[in-house]
Amino acid sequence: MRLRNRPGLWFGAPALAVAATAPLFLFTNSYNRGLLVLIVIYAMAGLSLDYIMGEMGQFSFGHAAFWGFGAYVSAKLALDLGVSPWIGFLAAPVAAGLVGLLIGYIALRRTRGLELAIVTLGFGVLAWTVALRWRPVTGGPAGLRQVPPPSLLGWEIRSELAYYYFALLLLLGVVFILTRLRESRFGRAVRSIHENEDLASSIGVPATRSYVFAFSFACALVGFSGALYAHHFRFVNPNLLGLQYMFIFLIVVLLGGTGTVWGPVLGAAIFVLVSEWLRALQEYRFLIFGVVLLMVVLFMPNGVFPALRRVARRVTGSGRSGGEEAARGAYPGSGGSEAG
Amino acid sequence: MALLETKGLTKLFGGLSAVDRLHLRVEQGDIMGLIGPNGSGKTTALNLITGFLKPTEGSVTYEGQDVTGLEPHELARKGLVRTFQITTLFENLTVRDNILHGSHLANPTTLMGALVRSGRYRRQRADMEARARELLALVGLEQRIDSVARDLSAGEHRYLEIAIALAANPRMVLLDEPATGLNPEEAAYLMDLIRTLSREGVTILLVEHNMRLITNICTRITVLNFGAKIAEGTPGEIVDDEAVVTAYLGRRRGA
Amino acid sequence: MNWDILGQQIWNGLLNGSIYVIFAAGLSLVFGVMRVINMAHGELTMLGAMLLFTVTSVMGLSYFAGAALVVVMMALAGFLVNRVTVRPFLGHSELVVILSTVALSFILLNGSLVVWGSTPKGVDKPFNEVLQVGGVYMTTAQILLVGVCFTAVLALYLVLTRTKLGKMTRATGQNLLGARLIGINTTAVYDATLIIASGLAALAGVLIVLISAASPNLGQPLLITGFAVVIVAGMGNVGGAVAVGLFLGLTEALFGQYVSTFYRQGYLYVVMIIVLLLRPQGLFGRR
Ligand SMILES: Nc1ncnc2c1ncn2[C@@H]1O[C@H](COP(=O)(O)OP(=O)(O)OP(=O)(O)O)[C@@H](O)[C@H]1O
Ligand SMILES: [Mg+2]
Repeated sequence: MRLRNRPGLWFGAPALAVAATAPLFLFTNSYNRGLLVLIVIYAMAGLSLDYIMGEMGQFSFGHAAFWGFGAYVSAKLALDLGVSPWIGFLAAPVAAGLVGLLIGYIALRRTRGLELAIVTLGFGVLAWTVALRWRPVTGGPAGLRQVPPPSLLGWEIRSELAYYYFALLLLLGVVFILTRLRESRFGRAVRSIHENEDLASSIGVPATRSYVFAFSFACALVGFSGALYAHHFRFVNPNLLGLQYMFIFLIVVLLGGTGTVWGPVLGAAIFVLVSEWLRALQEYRFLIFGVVLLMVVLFMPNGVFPALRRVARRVTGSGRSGGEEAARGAYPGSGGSEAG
Repeated sequence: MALLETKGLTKLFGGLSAVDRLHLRVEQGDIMGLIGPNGSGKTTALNLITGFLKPTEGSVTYEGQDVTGLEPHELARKGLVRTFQITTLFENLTVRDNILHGSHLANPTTLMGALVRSGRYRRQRADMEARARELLALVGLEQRIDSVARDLSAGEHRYLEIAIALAANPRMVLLDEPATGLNPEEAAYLMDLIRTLSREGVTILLVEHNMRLITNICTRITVLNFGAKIAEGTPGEIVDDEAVVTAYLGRRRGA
Repeated sequence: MNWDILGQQIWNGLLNGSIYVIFAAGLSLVFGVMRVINMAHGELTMLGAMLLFTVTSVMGLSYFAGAALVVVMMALAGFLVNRVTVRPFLGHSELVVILSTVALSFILLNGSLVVWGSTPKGVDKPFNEVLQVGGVYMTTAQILLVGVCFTAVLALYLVLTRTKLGKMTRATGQNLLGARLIGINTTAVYDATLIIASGLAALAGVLIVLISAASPNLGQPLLITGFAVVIVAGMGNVGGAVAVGLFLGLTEALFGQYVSTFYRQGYLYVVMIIVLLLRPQGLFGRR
């Protein structure tokens, strides 16, 4: 049966159909279409964070800092040097990836698991402080405005609708790359370190080096997502690097389900739509959101997507597809085992 | 020239010398047994040789090169691969994926190939898959290829561990108490497996408590006590060695 | 060099440092014993400050009675924090616990904004005379703060080193399974740890109002400062957190005076980054 060989297709195909047609119903005004853009951007950021969480089994509290950094890089290039946003879309992931390489090298040599979470939190907070304080470059607390939209053949991708399809296409590309990357030698190396670092080293996987590159890759990806944000919403400010977005990405990943490509996409959609619906509740909004979140964690600790998948399996009658299920299930705790 | 040689290898944990000026020589083609009472430093010696621990003093030479202080993955690249005393697998993966993930060194695919799924990539993957099947057939796990590793029996765990080690195409394998937890039939099967490896040209260093296994298949045996070597020789010589009998065998028999 | 200014800055640094110490000690304790990053720790302190405002200004209790009541209440709430946001997730990954404490901090922060609004609230201090010691001005409320802080640290030290509970928390922190095997009731240890930590967080809250206003927004910046302290000290090392909290409080004030007022905020993070570069596991952390 084809569904079994292509895990995720049962979700991916309908999801894609919904995503492609969403602007035709429900999301017909530009405000609502702006939400769609946000979903796509958060989904991409969530996927990159999930590369660290689901594939590496690690956690970075500094991930939003790379998102904001990518946004600033691209915005800055466009505003100060008049560089085309297209170059910015390339420069942002490259810059974020390089910084990620450096920080990954510093942090991953000696820390893993919760210690790594704390260390990256430190870097993230520092980046946020710099963005806030280094006024001449970052514009201080107000940030930078009037970031230009990208244009294609003289036509500005400015409307929510156009930008949505543009971003959606890129998101699909990212999903494709992530899926294929898993089967690559590098992807397997990362996975094997996640599963058991000692064993992976003993059979020749350079654990720290692979993790540093994986970390850098995730940073590049989130930097890209940040650049997409900057050129659509057309501003950047220090909040983009802060804990608020960090929490959002974390929620997107854990809500959707970690270790799956569709989880963060679903998580982003749920997050954006639910917090939008809760907007009517005004100041109670985030209070309720916190309660909802706690409920979700309590009752679906692996996220919504795996729960959905179980239901789908029951409906289509396909049994557990052994390894895939096991491999993509809840990630184990991250405290690396010591040699000994 | 010995394939593996340690000179004055020493590891201090606080005041305790877990390994004490160990001189060890393993020739190409040997099945060297490393035995000693609990806590005598066998695992520590293995960790020192394979780079999981850095020695306090002394050196490790492999294929005539000084490899002291190299990282485990660098040694694996040179063909020096170990297994662990506590069963160590990719527990959440299938048996097949254990081998495929374990084949890092023997994996010729490229990132680009995987991204575009080129014909070359697909051929290489098929080759790897075939090789995984071969290895699993060698250790007798071909029936279990789709099982998740943690669902295997104790014996199967050990065979899979060995298959993972072999997937790295080692020249020398260091096995840390592979027979622990096995019943007599499984242990006998393991013995055959080790002999097969040896015949295929893999040099072996075997840490083991199971004396029958050791005396049966080892070409040479080194005995540790309190981290220091107290005897070395053929199985026959070791069984008759006075010091060994008091330090180790005697106590075992009495127990 | 003006010695009076130096003295004044040392005193100011000591005030902030005292808060850092109490706050970071609780944060570090929870990590050390339970390997849980409590993202809600800052909001517990905030809640302590806001509740103190309510019981004193609205219900008319004296500062001392109010502070005692709040600390005890919040300590008991620590039990709930464990049972609702930590314990249900212990079988899962360490990351899920981060998310549940994030959810809790969402609830506490936004709940407080609903209840108290975002304007800072002043709390009447029990006494607030200005004294001059040498050339240094200090208020009696500030002296109270420092005194309480040192007493609390001493008490924490005694509990952790001299009591059976302290030994059990250490055993649990080192090896959960081992602790269970030798018959330690680790559930009770976890309860106790969060009770102590919440009490400490609330204590920081009722002390903060002695030197600044109470506001629902004070939690997050404090949490970040707390993490800076804990990172420099080494995660989970309570003694280290105390020493580093005090040191950073003092040197931060001196940095603000003698180097740059503007970048004073950045000082903590620069120290943190230097430590991260040279010793990612922290000054007192073990590999
Ligand atoms: N990481 C460590 N830190 C401190 N001491 C250690 C460490 N690892 C081992 N030791 C000590 O070193 C000595 C040798 O231990 P080792 O594990 O090498 O013995 P072994 O011969 O493998 O024992 P067994 O037969 O039980 O496996 C023991 O006394 C042990 O307690
Ligand atoms: Mg051993």
